[in-house]
Amino acid sequence: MEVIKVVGEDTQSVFPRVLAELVRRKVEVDKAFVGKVNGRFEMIFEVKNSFLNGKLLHAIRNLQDVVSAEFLKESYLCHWKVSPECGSEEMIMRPGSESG
Amino acid sequence: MKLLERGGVEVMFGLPGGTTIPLYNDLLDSKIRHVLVRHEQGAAHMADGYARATGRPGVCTSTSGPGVTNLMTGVATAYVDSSPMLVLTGQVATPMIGNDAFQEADSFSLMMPITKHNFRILDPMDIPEAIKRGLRIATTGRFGPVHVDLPVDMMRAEVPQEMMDKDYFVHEPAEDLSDLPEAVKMLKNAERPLLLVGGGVIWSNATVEVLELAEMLMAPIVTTIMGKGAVPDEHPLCLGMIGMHGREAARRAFLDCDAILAVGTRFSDRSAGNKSILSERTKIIHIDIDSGEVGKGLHTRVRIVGDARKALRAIIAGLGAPKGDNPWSLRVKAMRKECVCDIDLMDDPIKPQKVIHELNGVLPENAFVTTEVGQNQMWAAHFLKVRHPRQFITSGGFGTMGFGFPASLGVKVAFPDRAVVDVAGDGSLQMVFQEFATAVSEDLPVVVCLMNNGWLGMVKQWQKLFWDKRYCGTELRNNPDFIKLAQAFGADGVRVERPSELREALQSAVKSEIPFIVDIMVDPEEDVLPMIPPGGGSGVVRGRCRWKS
Repeated sequence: MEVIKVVGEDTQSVFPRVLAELVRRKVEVDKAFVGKVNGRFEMIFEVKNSFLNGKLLHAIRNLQDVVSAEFLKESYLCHWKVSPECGSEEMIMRPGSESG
Repeated sequence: MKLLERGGVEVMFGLPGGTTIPLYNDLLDSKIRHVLVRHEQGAAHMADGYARATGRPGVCTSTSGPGVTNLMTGVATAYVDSSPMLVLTGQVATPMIGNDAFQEADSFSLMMPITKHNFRILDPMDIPEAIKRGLRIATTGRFGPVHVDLPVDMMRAEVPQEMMDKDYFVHEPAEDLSDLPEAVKMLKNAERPLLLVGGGVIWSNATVEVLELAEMLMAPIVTTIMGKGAVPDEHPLCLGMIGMHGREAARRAFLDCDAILAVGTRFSDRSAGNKSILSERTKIIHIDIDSGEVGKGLHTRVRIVGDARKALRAIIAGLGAPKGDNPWSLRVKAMRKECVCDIDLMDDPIKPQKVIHELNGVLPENAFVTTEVGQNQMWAAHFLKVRHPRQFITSGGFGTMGFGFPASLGVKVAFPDRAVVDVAGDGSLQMVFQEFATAVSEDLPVVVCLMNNGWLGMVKQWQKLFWDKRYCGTELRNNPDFIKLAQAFGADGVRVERPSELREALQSAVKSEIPFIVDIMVDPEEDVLPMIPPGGGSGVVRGRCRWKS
């Protein structure tokens, strides 16, 4: 299993574009977390068989409106609490543990 | 339309529908020429042909829904071969999107995996950005088609002048030239260097640099099908096309070299993707504008990400002195001499190779040749003597049957004074024959050189060689009378059944002032050989190859 972090500009469909690129390259996406942070989209993908290694990141970086793409070597916390009544309370995407 | 005019667009290929009427209404007041096609696939291929011949983006348009899905084959063809296009599609009005409205399709999602980028306009203020950025994105870095989906109500809205005048940012492609010194060192030390040239060399206009470098190193040049024309086929260092249907000399040199400088190529499975045939000691330097391609197909020692022309110039400067003749260059000369095919050009029925041989003699030096896909394409790629970049236009990556004829019309729009010939097969041509109506009504006198063998020849060849001659679904029974069909559209043609008739027929076709088809009855049993079987391996089906050693 590998974890990829992609940051994209706040433009239409940057997330499906990245997803389509991963699928096109036979990369299995098990989980994805996406949210807008400081005016940019941050995307965290838990993937299998990203056999293209560095080349995959280059391909994603070459997509228009993608700012960066990297494999994560450390734990990463993505937390989203949302309800119809209270709206989206919290969105955290940063290195750390459950307690951190 | 104003934005397109400002972007240098001269022509748009398309077919209108309800959702693009506003666009066509503006076209009436525009200087942009519109070429009305008979099927949207033709529009995309024409725009693609225009782009490949000129190096500038081709523009095509369709209405929503089926218009878009009809365009898609042409857009995918351009995408795989990195051809710059701007694709404008109509869409149902924004309040109707998502309601399964009449002629509604999710064009934005459909186009996403086959375009370099795409835009869906949900606010008329976004139109200038989409058009300006679209044209720029299509022609920076690795070229490719850009799609703009235009809902009909967005096209009716007014856009303020200040939005039209605004500039929009496009990321410059990533560049990494840090391996250049290592590349220079490797080439200096190589005893048997070879240049593998792909279509990227033509797109980046690096053909002069390729020749200069090859002559400095006295290194042979082999090309992919997309790279054909990057250097003149008659140049003493050019060994021709490599790959499944490549020339034997090119294959031998590729196997024997000790260093490969690969420029603007992605080591596709049909060209040079079979790394197992290379010696472990063969060193590979790879130059490509697309960082995602460098080192993707093969393990390359040296990776240079950037414009081919710029990188080659730097290597030339680093090399300093030319190498001069050496044992390797002498061996290359011998290989070139030995690479001949055993063909009787006066054989009856006509050999397809004879057709290409006659084209070599008849065509003006600056003529363009497009091809369909299949045996016709491979015979042209193998035997046609191309002199200049962009003269040979083919669907190399996507392998789209029906590409060549509409592409030839796009080329003719760009270069009305030059001869344009489509080398076709009877299978491919029947997919797009209706574009004879476009050719006649738009006064585009191209020549279709039809190699008619009554079969889907390449599939038949595979069934013959690898499936025990179990032919299924490949015989084209009940082919129409192509001459009468062309004449019904207002074009003309002639049938050729004997080798002796061929030259005169082609000469009169090239001189014709209306679209012209030369329907040549070729030997249906002739295969495209030599051939490396699918999946690679060392076995080569040699056929008429006269190689002795």
